[in-house]
Amino acid sequence: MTGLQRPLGSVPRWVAILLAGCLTLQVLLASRVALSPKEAADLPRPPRAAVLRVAALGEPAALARLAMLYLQSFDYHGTNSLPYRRLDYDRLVDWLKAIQSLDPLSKYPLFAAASVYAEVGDPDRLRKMLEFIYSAFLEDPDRRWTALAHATLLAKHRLRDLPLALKYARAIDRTTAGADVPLWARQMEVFILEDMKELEAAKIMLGGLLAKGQVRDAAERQYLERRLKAMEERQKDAGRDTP
Amino acid sequence: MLAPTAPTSMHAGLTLAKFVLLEARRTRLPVLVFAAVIAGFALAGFLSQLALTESTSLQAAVLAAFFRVVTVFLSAAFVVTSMVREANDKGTDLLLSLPISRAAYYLGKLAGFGTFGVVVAAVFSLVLLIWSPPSAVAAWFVSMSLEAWLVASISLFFVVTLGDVVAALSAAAGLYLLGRTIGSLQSISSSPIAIQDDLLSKVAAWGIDAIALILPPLEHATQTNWLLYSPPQPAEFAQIAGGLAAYAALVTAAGLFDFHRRNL
Repeated sequence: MTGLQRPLGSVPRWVAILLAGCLTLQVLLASRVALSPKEAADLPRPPRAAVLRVAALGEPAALARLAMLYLQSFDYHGTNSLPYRRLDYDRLVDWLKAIQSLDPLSKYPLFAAASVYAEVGDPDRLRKMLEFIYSAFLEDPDRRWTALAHATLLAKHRLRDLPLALKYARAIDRTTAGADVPLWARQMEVFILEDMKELEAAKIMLGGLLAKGQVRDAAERQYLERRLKAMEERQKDAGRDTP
Repeated sequence: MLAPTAPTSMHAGLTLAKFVLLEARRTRLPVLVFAAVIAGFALAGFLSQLALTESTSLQAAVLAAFFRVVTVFLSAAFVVTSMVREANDKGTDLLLSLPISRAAYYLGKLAGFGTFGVVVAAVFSLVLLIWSPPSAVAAWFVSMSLEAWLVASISLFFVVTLGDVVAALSAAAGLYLLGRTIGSLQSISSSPIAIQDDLLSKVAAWGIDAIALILPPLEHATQTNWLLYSPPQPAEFAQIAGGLAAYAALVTAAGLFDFHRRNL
């Protein structure tokens, strides 16, 4: 290949200078472009599920997962102490529904709803997430019961809405029929009615999920364990603060 | 001394196929395939770091989609550029002046291009074995091979008919993308919300249904879902594979018909 090329000296000096100048200009311009994090208000309305399906070009499973990463990036950046708190949750639910319809077998949208978007500490937003999880659960109870189990605990301990928690616990018991739904999940009603602390209940749930091999993904396991640890620390701090 | 005998059509075709594969090797396509594997690994690794759950299936899904695009693009680009280059160098005229039938020439070329697609699909399938079970990858590989073969036959048809790189690549890409999305377009056109119940809407829906009849059946081929959840049922898979093979045969027949009519 080198034999086909003329020596460097054959390039006119002005062409070499032009190239070097343009390269410098490009690097200068690119370095000045500040990356602006995606703010909550930037979250657009989701496209219709049918349009998303066409845009997937026959790869709905891949697009569903990429869309989840895209969605995660809104209102989440280094300077944001409470991520996702400013998001428009009606719009967020529409996005989650559209992504779920793109790949109904994926657990990602429901996991994000229960473990990420429900953690914002705002009751109205949390309620919207729980409603989304419940309606998605009813479409495929045997595959989506883990998200509703999370939702049950959130309803009891975060919203302090016992009737809602019982409704979810009973829904798991009555609508699931799969062999891989463990006994503790079917009996959630019992430990919702017991005076059990959130940490204790979360430990039973996570322990049960891990023991049954229902959390196979390393990233998910790490995330849930981190959450449990944060819960432990929160409880320790609360114990210290209480005289 | 025996006079040299004319090669049989089969021998001529096989020799041509062998030279197509040699051309693929010499035009450094294996380097591109290797680069795609590295790029795929990097992309999947980066995205999986961002995932909160399903990180393994995210990697498999993104890689499978990426590998599918690369296989199709490389197959189509190789067919079109190779045939145009040969035509410009008068190689086609030279070969057809030898005792080789037009059918042997066309089918030999297609065999070479199709085999190249199968080799690329095999390399990518081996990589996907890291994330998915062998039975699922086997189904993906067979479907991808048939799809690559189909793309090679579509590209060959268009390049022989249109004789130009940009026109042939555009036509092949258009047909391929339409084949992959026609099912979704049909479901939109038949949606009661989207379509008003007037004559124009009905004509549009019929038009889309009519176009669907002559498009390649790619909507259900080479599904990433097989790698993530479970391989297809044998009957379903046989239907998909049969559809791809039948369409490849149709395009090949159309290409042969056109090639025999051409005044070279």
